[in-house]
Formats: sequence, C-alpha cells, structure tokens
Amino acid sequence: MKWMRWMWLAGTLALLGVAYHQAMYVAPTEATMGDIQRIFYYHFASAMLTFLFFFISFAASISFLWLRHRNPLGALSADALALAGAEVGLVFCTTVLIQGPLWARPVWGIWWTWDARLTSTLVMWLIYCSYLLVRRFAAGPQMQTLAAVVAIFGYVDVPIVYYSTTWWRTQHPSRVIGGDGSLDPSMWPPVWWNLAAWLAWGLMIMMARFVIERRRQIQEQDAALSALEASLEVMP
Amino acid sequence: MAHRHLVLAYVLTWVIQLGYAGILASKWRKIRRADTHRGAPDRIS
Repeated sequence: MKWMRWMWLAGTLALLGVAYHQAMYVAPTEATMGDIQRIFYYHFASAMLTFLFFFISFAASISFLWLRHRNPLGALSADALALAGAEVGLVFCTTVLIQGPLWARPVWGIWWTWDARLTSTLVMWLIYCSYLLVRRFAAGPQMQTLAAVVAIFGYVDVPIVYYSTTWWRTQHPSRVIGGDGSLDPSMWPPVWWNLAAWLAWGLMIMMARFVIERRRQIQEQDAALSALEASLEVMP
Repeated sequence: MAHRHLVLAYVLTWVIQLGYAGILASKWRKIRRADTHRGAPDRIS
C-alpha cells in the first residue's frame, strides 16, 4: 500500500509538471489579453475542483444523516469524508478567489466587483468557512449532525455560482462548458492537463485528510472506552 | 504588470496548497505520536 501512495505522489507531480508546461509554454497566447490569460488554465481547474470536492462533502453529509442510526461506524466514515471534501474544496475555493482578482486587475482595471459570480463565490467560501467553524466550536454529540445539515444547505450555493453568469448579467466571462463562452480548440489540451493534474493532487490531499480524521475518531472512541472501563472499575 | 500577476497567481496557488499539505503533515505526526503512545497498529482497517 505504501508504494502505491508514493506512486500516486510521483504521478501527480509529473502531471503537475506537464500541466504547468502546457499552460505556460504550449497554450497559444490569447489575442486580446495576452499572457495574463494563462491564469485561466489553473483558475478554471481550481473552480471545477471546488465544485467537485464540495459535492463530495454534500453526498457524504447525506450519507452520514442516512447512516447515523442504521450503521454508526459507516456514518463516522461518511462524516470524515464530508470534512475532508469540505476542507479540500475550501482550499481550492481560496485559490480561485486569489487567482481571480490577480487576473482581473490587468484585464478589467479593477481587483474586484460585486457581480453575481464573484459575490456568490465569496458567499460559498464563507458558507464552508462557517461549516468548519461549526465543526471546530460546536460541542456535544449533535455537532456532526449540525455540520452535515450546514454542508447540505451550503451546497445550494454551488449551482447558483455555476449558473450565475447565465441567470444574471455579470462582468465575469461566460461558462466555457455548457455556456456561451468558447475556447479555441488549441486551448483545450492545457485545460484537460490542468484539470487532471489538480484532480490527482486534490484527491491525494483529500484522502490524507480522510485518513487523519478516521484515526482521530478511533483515538476518541478508544479514549471514551478507556474512561468507561475506568469508571466501571471504581464502582463497588 | 500582467507577467507579475501571472507569476504571483501561480506562486500563491502553490503557497496555499503546500501550506494546507503542511498542516496535514503536522496533524499526521501528532496523530501518529498519540497512536505510538497507546500502542495502536500502523494502519486503520
């Protein structure tokens, strides 16, 4: 198993190297924006992966609520996956919110505007920050249930972010998949390479976070069991 | 300015991703220390 992890890491780093080369050197220079358009290749990949990891958190949260009385051990795994998906999604969302203004400043002349796409993305980021705050500060056995409900309701914002450029007039460019936005065919290979590379990276860190959370849960269960055994020993 | 922003966006992307990976590595070390202390197996089933 350990060699598989190292193979995955090596494959991911190789993919990221190819993706970087594709975005910076192979992709043609965009006619109106110039080289700054190359931010798009990892901005787009980061945005798509934000949606994917938040979806994993959403699906795992539904599984947790479904399993919590039927299969408590399975529910704990679902809860760990929900946390891992939300955290990794938030990391990608943070990079999206940093890359966007760095692209916008030379192209639009402004860092930020309160249009529907940008605002709904910021709201999504705040929702998942609050999800992590609930997990950090809510006490008691209901914390996981409360967090699952926040993740499920929070996910409502994801389609709003995705379709915001269709539903409202926005300064942000249109969707390139299923929207009015279009790409030159020569720009698609760097898009797919970057998506594949960042997906491999994201899955790797999500699995690492999942394993850490499972271990923490097992330690917590062991500590509770030890405390119970100790209390039984002192009883007459 | 455009080139500076392009490089900055790429560098900041990696700073955030590697920063998060670093946080995970430190959490992993903490968990492993606690596992070793209580004599738990190396893997979870």
